[in-house]
Amino acid sequence: MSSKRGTARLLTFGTTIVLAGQIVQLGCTSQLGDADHFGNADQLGDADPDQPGATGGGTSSLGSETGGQGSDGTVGPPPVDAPSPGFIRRMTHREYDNTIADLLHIDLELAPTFESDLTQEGFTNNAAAQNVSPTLAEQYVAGAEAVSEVATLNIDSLLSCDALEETACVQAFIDDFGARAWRRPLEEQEKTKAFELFAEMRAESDLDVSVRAVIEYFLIAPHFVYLIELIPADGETGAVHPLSSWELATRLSYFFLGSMPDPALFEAARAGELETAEGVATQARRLLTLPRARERIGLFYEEWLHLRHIDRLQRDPVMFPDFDLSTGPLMREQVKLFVQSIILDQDGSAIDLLTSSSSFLSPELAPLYGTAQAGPVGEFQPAELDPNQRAGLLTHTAVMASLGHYDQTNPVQRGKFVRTGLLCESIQPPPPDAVISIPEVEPGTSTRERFRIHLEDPTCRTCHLFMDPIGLGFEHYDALGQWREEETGLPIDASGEIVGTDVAGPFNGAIELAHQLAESDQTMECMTRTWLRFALGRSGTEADEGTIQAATQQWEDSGYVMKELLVALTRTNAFRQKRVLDPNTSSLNMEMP
Amino acid sequence: MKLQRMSRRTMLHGAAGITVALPFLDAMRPRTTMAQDAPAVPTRFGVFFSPCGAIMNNWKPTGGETDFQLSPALQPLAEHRDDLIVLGGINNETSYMQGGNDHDLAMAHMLTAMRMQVNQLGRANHVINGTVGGPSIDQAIAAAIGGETKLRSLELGVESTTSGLEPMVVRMSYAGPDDPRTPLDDPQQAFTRLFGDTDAAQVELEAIARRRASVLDAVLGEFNAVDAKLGYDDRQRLQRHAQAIRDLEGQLDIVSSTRTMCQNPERPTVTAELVDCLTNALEQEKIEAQCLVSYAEVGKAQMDLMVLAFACDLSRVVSFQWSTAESTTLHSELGVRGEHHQMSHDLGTFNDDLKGLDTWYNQQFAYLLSEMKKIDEGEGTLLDNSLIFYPNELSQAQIHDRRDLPFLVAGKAGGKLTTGRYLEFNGAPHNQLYTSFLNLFDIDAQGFGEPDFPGTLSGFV
Repeated sequence: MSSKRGTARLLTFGTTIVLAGQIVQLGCTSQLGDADHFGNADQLGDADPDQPGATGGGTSSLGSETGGQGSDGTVGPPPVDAPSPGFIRRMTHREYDNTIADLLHIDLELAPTFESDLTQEGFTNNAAAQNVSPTLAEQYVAGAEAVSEVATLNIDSLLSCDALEETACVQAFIDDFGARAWRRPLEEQEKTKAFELFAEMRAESDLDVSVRAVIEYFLIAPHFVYLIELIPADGETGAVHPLSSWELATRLSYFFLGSMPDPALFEAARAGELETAEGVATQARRLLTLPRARERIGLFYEEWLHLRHIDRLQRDPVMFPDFDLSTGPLMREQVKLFVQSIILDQDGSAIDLLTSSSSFLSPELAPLYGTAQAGPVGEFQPAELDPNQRAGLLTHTAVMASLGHYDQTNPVQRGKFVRTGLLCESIQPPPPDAVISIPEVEPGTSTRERFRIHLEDPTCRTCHLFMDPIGLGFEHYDALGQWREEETGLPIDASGEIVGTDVAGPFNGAIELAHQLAESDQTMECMTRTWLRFALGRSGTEADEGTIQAATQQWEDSGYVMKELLVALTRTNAFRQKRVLDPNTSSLNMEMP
Repeated sequence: MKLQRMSRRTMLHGAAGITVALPFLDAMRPRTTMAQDAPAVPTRFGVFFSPCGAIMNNWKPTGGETDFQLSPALQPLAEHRDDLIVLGGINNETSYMQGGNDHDLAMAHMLTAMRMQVNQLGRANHVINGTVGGPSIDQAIAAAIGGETKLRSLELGVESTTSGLEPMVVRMSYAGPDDPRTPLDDPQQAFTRLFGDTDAAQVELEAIARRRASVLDAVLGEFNAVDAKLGYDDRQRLQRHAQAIRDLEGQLDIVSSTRTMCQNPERPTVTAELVDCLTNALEQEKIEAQCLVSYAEVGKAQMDLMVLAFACDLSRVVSFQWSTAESTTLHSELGVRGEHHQMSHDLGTFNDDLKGLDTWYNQQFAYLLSEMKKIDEGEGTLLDNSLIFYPNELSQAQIHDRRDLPFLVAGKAGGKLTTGRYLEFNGAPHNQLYTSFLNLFDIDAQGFGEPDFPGTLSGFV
């Protein structure tokens, strides 16, 4: 990626040695995105670190990261914006509820009756995390039966037969409902099959019960539960095909809405408008104006910042007497309002996300920000936060508190989140024999002092050098994220340093840090990388590098306006095309590292 | 149109409620048994899991094999001392054969004793695009002995599928790679799985069963139709999903015993709201105070169902999972101050809280054993005819230690196992314990899991 700002990129710090399949990581971080710091394990075993282009973990994957010059000076082919493998993804439970609501105008909230969605790489919409266990298979059946019961309570209005005789009426229902449930027109044989089920039931049951069976059939079928991208009949392994208009409509709607396509999107698919990148981008822009897009943006940041568990935040009641379990959800809500406002209402940029001090406050949260606010409890109002104390996402209390300990700050986790979440680096976990203990809070010692050994011990320093000097820059924010000028009587020292990256250098306090990060190409590329995972519903792979570069380039031209990033992602080949996977061989290639 | 949220009862209708009453002993008789033989009482396998290690110097008994003294943490089990085997010195050695996130490794290897299949590691070194190497021990036993009961196995939990966590950290039971057996966290759903909708009229249930059979039959056709148009891995997933649906069809006729408790089983009293508030508090944006209490209440209901499933011979393999390897559970009703997993990394602050939790979990285990002892099965109690395994995925959690694990076994496995013992194995791989388990169920095996650690656990049986 070219860099307008002319900053050099310093990418890796560790050295990976591959010894007979064993990975020995010297150093600490690597920056081939989130997933790939070990490269591909089945390649690792054979990788020769000296061979140009070899994929041997952190260092040697530099070549594919930059798409040009490797650390040894060799030049590889530039990465291309490659199509994604066509695949299936089970919808998340939130998406399931949204889809039922949009399909039948029934709000049943079935998600709590399903086994919980898990996350992979931070996101619940990651296909790898979403298989269907026997438990969930049973819950889907029960869920469909619950939906069909409510949907047929008023069978006349559901079918709206008017003057039609029953057979024609039910056939019309199958055509319409089936196509919307499966998000594509039904084939003739599928219509026939659904009607045969109806007729079989109707021979011995009432009309409503027979229609219930049809609804259940459509909702339990794989075409509903999974977002499915099929291999074309003539599809050879490795061949690239455009996604069908219906598949693309589904990708778009679950990316932006977390639900089925709305009528206008179905119509665009029917009219062939999704066959060009321009047509797709037009729909993307339209979808961003819908209410569900607001939910979706909020969800992305909730998951990316790991704010789910903030409900359970526990803090020392002596140090934080006013804190209770009701605070966490408000903190999270504030972050969602902040990102929704910046991205959707202000057409804001990534720089705004990282540096803006315009946020929202409720009467309960205001004291945490050293201010007061009148108004109804739990109601948020736009609020200017003190620009000398707050800048962007990172300085919101939700982020600072969730990266905190029970009775003190957590400079390690704070620094680690910047490296992993914002810069997309991987940090090696502590060695197995490392004794991990959190120093006890003592009067008269600063956090910096208590964690000093991390930077003094040569072994600890290998990794903590990348985390602690960033995390200690947040020392003005206590374990709840409240601004403080001193700690146990000592004035706060918030000096810090970013080691490595394209914005290496010292800073003083989180405001300077935020601006430094906002200047970083690595930060911007990381945002692309993270949003791409969310857009595609899968983990990143090395094959995505070209896509990330292409999208980031387009995005950069807009001045990093967030909406433009999301639109740019939909224009990529990775989003619009599918590569045919080998039907006979596992792509997991289950080799063990 | 916003409709009132539907009563959970409405969706608990299941065709499984059609009971075909068979005499208990007939239902339990192994197929191999000749009709004129005395009916054999089956041996059951149970797993009771609690997470995040233990304060080991507060957990280890003192003394010798038979004259041992229970530790403070194990005190709640004093009345069951003679039904226990306290296992010391057993290592999850296989988890040190590969790299990755320590919680992934601890949990994924705990019951599989086999290296994970992984080709990518992601955030915090969690596995992405990977899975366990093979079946967990409970599923290996279920595959051999589960075929004669309504459910091959039953998996129960409390907060065991908390959202927002990575798959390997959450799951412990697998029928095979990428084939997790996730627990039901809702006792109401679990009850329905066992007994069907016991409140609905028989004629209504039969109608539902017929409709469900027709629908599932049609749905399976769709699974077949799509099968040829997918990549290999997706096809495997859909085939497992289809198999689960076929299994549901197979459960439409059920067998129940003549015991009163099985003929007129009592539906758990925990409300759906309580379960929701526990498992889905995150969706609801806040945790009610009652949620904290419900962890114990729901857990008790699940243990009752475990006993019921065994006693009514609806399943011979039942596992019960408290939370996950990164437990976010709060126990403020016990005076414990933080989330379990978070606390387990901060011994300096939370040592006493964690000791309290160790004691609490052993109290729960004691409850399960007491309930099992109440079931008289002629020669001995249900507990005597069971092998109940209580693993924890870690020993010293603050260093993610997976050696010298705090493992307990209870029950005499139908008389094959001598209890009331404390055994130290000095670093034996847990594979050997599981091979011994297999042999106790008359499953011929030279090893379990990773082939590097064959053989049984010498001195255990």
